[in-house]
Amino acid sequence: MEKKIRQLFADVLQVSNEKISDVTAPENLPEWDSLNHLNLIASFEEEFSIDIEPEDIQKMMQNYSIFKSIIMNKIG
Amino acid sequence: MNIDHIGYVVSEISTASKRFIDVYGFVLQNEIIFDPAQRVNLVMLNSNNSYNIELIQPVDDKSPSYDFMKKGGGFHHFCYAVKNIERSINVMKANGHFLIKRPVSAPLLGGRRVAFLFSKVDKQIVELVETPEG
Repeated sequence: MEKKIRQLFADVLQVSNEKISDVTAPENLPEWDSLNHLNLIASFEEEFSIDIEPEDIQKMMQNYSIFKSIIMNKIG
Repeated sequence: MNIDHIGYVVSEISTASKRFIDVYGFVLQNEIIFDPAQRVNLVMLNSNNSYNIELIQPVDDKSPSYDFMKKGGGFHHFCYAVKNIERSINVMKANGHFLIKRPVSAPLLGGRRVAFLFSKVDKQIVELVETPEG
């Protein structure tokens, strides 16, 4: 599942999945801006049929580790 | 739903509002207001045929619309007037939107509550504003 999340994340941002690690953050990945963050949320909600709350949307932009963790919790 | 206004992001609100007034004939509705929740300066302009344009100037990179401005700005969102904002949010969530920001009071809109959603289909931000008449 982690591999699938990482690949979808990279696909939406149109970057190589090798660029994505737990320390990836908007500060070190310019493609991850607030506009693309909304596209990420849209794609993950669609792909996994989950609902992400506004508070989580903000938290998920801190770094990829938090992003992935919230997605995995939602998927269950 | 009726459109309450159209949101338009600019990098410098004084210059932009002067341009909308001088070139396009809009009428200024208020002085510049700072919205601390969005970290933006705002002004509402009205056209002769009653279209409202909300000019939005992010004040720093903590503003949700800062990256949009850095990419050139321009058309940002439609804002729809609704009678019951919670009910409308639920309807929109059931129809391809997710909620970005829960309802808060908007200084520019007389304290009326607004909420922001994102359309997964159109990849566009949508604002709702609660008004008694909907």
